[in-house]
Amino acid sequence: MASAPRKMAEWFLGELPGLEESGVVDGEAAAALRGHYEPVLLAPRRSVAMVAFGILGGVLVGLGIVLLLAHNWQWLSRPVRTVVAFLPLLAGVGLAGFTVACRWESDAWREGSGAFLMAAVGTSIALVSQTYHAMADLTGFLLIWMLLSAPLAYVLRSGVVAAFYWIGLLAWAGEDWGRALAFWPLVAAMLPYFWMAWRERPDGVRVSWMGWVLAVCLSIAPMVVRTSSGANFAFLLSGVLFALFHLAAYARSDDAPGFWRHPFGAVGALGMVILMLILSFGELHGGREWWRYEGRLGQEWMVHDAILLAVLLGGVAFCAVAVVRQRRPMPLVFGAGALLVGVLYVARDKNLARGLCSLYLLALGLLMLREGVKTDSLRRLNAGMGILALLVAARFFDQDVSLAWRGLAFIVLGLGFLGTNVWMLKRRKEVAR
Amino acid sequence: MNRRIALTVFALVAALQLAVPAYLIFRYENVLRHGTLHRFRTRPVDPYDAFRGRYVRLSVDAATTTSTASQGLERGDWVYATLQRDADGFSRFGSLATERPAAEDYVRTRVADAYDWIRQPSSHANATTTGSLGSRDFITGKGQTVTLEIPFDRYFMEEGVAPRAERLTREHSRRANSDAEVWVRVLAGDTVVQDLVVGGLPIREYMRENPERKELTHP
Repeated sequence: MASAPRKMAEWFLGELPGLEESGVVDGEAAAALRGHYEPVLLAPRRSVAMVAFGILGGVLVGLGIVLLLAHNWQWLSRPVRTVVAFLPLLAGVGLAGFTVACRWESDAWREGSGAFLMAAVGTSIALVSQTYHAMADLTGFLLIWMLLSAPLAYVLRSGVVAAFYWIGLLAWAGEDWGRALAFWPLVAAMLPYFWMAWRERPDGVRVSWMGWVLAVCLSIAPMVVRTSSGANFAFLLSGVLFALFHLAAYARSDDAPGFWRHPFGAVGALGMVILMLILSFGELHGGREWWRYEGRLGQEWMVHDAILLAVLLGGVAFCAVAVVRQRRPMPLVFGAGALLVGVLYVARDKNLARGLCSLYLLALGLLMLREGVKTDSLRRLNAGMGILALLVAARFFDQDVSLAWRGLAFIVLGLGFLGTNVWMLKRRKEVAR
Repeated sequence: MNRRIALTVFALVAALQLAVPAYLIFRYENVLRHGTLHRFRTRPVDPYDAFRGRYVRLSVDAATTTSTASQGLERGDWVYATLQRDADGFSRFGSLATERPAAEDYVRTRVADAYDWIRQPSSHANATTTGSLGSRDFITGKGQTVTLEIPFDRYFMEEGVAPRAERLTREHSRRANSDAEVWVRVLAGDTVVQDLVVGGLPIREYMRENPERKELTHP
């Protein structure tokens, strides 16, 4: 059976009679092609709308119950309230159990019941703490809720549970003032499910929106979760993460099918550009040597940071090798951003950061422009122009560089662009002649 | 994962999800039945918790204490704070420890803020340097002034009455009329709020006996 998407198969089968009539394919070839692609149309259609409605329905009912019960039914005695606290949870367990037993093949049932049960777990714990005016600390509540909900993603194969789990972990880390030593391992605990979902349908809607949630959560994480070396290490971690995202997106497949189905590539590229812009303003903290930890956190944080960085760098190296084998230079430019951030982390020189980051963004913008022209891709052309425009704006308003130097740099750059234009025009005339 | 394995795993997960709230209920009931009663003077604010409804936020007078310099506490650190009673029978936080203390009554909580100075009279024997910070005099000596997060900082009420409860508690927390208290049961570091007391009565009873007067409108 062909693995082509449904729309492609529909289009091709629609073209086939015309190709047969015009003699491009003979009758035998046409019959073989029909036999190959028709099963794609006969496969059961996964209705995205049904799944989305199932998820929305489950989440809304769950949240509605939270609000109704939060109304505080004071006329109930404490024992009755503790029994009521179990009702949403019993309903959620019943619904999810029915789904596993009788609706195992339905995406809508699995996602909807997973979302409902996850909300019910949180509701139950919240009601108990409300009844006893206890557990004022939100960190304990969030962590317990996420840990109890995590297995549902695997059992019910629910992307909604996985997505809310990642968001919940980020909220937990933020509430815990960043002292979430277990944050990264807990995030990684859900990655096998993401991997399984990706293997099942790499171009599926579920994988793409899960990817967006994961990419955005991980992009924010270095600024939320504390590290042993403070803000500078967070910049380093961000640089390595964005490089890993972008390289991983291009490590396996050829051009990704559209912007929204390509979360890691998009977040990696955008994140790297923003990070370089921030660093180009010299946002580095000087002072102690780069290998010293700056906070008062324990030794276990140094070990945590070392392991985290080693794992991420290993991922970058692995993906970079895969990209090199495909002979695609552009993703490697984003990968080189991680190296640059590493150099700046060690050097901790604001002027060096300003110069190197500006040069990097200039080179990146020009390369994207060239790539856009070569491949006739408006998206890449616009991306290149956007990067250069941001760089120009950033330097124009950079108060730490004197007006004279800024003026000189802009004139040289402008002359360079005009000169390139003249040269390209001359070449075009020669080619035309 | 095939359906049979999924059913088995789901049954285990569901059992755990039901067991956790049950365990919490057992734990809090144990504190209410066997914990020591402590009374704290309080000041309120009225916010809203999206997960758990309307509540009266309780700000306890006794949230600030001091620690020795060797502890070097900073914001977010977990500590055990012992409880001491003053001459009026109200409880305050006493010494802080990073390990579970041998004392009978203590609360496990987090440091909200820690300053490397202790507010003392300038004639204090341990004073090393003196200075001023705006309108406040401070002494840098051996120690820190630590403000603790209060683990019993909210009293949940029906959303229709919580604002009035907050107003009443505020009125009864003023210096001229400070008879608002929060009664807390404490057991092995756990705390459960037993009641919010205003004018000598539990808040709900006080509100029943002192119904809110509606303002008359003149034609």
